[in-house]
Amino acid sequence: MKKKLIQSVLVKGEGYAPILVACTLARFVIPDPLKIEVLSTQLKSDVGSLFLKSDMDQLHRSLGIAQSHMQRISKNKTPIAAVQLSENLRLPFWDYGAPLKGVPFYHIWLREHLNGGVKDLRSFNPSFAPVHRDAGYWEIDPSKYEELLRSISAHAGIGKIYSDVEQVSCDEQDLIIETQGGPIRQQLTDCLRLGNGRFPTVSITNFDLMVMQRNLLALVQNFPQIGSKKIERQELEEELNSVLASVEDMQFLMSADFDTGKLSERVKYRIELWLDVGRVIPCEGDLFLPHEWLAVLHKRVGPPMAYSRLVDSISRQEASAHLQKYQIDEGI
Amino acid sequence: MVDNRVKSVIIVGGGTAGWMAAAGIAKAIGSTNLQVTLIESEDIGIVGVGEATLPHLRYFIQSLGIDEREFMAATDATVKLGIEFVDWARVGDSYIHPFGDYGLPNDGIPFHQFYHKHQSNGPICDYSLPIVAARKAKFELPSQNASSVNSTYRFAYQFDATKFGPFLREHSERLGVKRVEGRIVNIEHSSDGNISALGTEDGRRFSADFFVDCSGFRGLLIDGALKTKWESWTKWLPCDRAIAAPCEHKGKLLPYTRATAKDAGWQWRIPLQSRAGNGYVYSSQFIANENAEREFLNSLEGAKLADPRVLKFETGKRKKLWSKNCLSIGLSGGFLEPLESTSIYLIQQGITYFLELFPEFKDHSIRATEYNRMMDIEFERIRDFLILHYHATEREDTEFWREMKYLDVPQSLKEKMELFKECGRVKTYANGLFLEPSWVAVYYGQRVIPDNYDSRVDMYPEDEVKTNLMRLKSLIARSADNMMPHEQWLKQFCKIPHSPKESLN
Repeated sequence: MKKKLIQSVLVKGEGYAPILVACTLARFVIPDPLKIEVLSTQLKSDVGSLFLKSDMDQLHRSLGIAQSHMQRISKNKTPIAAVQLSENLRLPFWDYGAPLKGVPFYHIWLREHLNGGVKDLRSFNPSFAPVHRDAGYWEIDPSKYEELLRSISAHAGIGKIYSDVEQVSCDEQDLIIETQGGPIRQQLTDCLRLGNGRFPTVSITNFDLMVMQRNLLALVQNFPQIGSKKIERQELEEELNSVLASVEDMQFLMSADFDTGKLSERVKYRIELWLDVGRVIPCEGDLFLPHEWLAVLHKRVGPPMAYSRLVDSISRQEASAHLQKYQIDEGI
Repeated sequence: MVDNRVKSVIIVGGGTAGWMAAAGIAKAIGSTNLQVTLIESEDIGIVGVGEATLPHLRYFIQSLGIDEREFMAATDATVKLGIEFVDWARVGDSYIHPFGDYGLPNDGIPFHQFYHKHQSNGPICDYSLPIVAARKAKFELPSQNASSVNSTYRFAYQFDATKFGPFLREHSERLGVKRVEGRIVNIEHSSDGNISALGTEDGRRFSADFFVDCSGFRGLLIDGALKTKWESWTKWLPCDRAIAAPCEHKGKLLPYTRATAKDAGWQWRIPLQSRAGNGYVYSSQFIANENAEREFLNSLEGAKLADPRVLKFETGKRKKLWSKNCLSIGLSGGFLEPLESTSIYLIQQGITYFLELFPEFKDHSIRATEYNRMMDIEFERIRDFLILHYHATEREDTEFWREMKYLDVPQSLKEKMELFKECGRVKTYANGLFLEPSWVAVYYGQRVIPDNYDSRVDMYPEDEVKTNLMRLKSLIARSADNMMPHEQWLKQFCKIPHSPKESLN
């Protein structure tokens, strides 16, 4: 085995993010001794909420964060089945109904919808039913989360430096990780940017933690070759960028005035394809699942011009029976 | 909603691709609102690509509502659990690329990372049930119980490709596909450059809204009429000839295909119920055709059952598989040599994407763009995987292998190989063929061994990991022993009602 190249890591940023990075590295990366320090300018409690899918919290379990901890730091005490993105837009945790004979559920619904007499799409997603489920989104209180991570980091022996920093430099065997995004982000030239740290101008708020979880998974998997001149972090950067791309696209679509904004070519393509075919583009490293894109595109862009021709192989009676099967009982 | 929908499709060519497309379209869309016509000529032979397939074909057969037993019996089919590669990294080496997993991942860490730390426990193939079963010529249907080790594999078919088209023809006609016998001699265009009608030798004229070119290497519509450019990949995949001939069986009926590296290419052996299919894929730059034929015939394990057929090809693909109102499926769209049995998969995937993006109205440019984007991904990922077999070799005993070893491979493959070598990480992707176990099988088989393993493995107590590995190995060995011999399983499941000679006639 070759000796790993990185000997010390400095994680810079505010709030929960740098501590989560440090705890994860301390847990998963064991080139003994790896020195890990957190550098923050101030003690800060974030406001707002952080969303995390319960089926994505593998990392948390590895850090020793149990269900009881999650209940303590969650705003709802239990996972929620859909998150409110704006006044009229909710992102469902669960998928809509199953395909029938290989035909996507949405297109079966669309034909019946265009012919009239079928309920709104949300009536076919269990996420919108008022029933308790074990899985869903956790809506986390950032300040409580930060506190929890601080206690874990203390046990892991992670060093903390609280200081205003003008400039940070390091030698070849060090790694600097920047987790601070938005306008107050510092212009560090040679650092690895994770989570919000990859956003130069805006903060992405609610999905920060989901992005960070995915980034950390990529970091841990790629850690052995970071610093290697041969690969030069390329793989890691690619993975981080693909997550970022999906979040940027989703943000465009989620914002109420997306149609007046300056759309990227990628978002334009997503919209065009949706309107023409009712198709969600499968992307590498996407943070969101196809049904989540569908929910947002359907709500924000509207239904496509026509339903898929595949629906023609299904009779109206079959379609009706299938839809009935997945209709949620809103009275429960 | 304005009713200017596409109402008719003509498929040109009645080989594997043509009849798969006809059956797939007719089944998925139905014949009430769409007229599907297939034009073929009995005077034009078919290449009959395939013989060995990938597990995906099972889903296609199922989606058509075809009974698997009936299909297997009609096409002389056997079971395929993977592909054995002989003499590829070094002369004397052998490994199987299985249709299934190695072990099971733990907390999201791939099994091979644990294996890599504890390699002294034996070769990685001991941890793959499809490999162990294949080596013992055993088989049983995979379990539906996800917690059973017998659910960790899938299987494909090895079949007589010349029987597959006719089998699907019968089925397609029942689904409402209209078959026309005729040789196309004239192609008409509309003012916007689309194809509008086809004329046959006997003076008939057939018009349609959309055309599917399954005319094979000729590319009658996509090339002949629309002049869509070809992107050659011969600089990476230089084999350009194949000689094929069936022979009698010898020995056990194996549930896997064998690909044996030769001086200027490689030779396949595909066991069917009544015979074995064989072929030598080679580069004509490195061996004369007559020498290749001699080498091939001398290496057949049983008596030759038909004269060898020679096939010329150029590896590559059309720059646009969907151009104007014409889609090219099968050999007219691209060919990547049969090393990993991907030809029928690409046909199937082409049909699947086409159905997902079926041209609703006459203006379908965004659908064509998306189709071409997705198929480019499919082709390029398969291309890289195939090149890996040739390039990751230690062989320098012939000019062909020296050339392949020092080949300047595509950047996308270079990155994948460097990443695996560095830390055992397989570059995974959401779209495209070949998942992590496939890459792991070929990397290890071709002696590409990582320098490091995933550091998360160190969190697990060594003794516990070793014990689990030993348990898994024994469980897999026992499970394979408990399976039925492949030959016996076939007799019970789908015995063909013919003798070998009858089946060839």
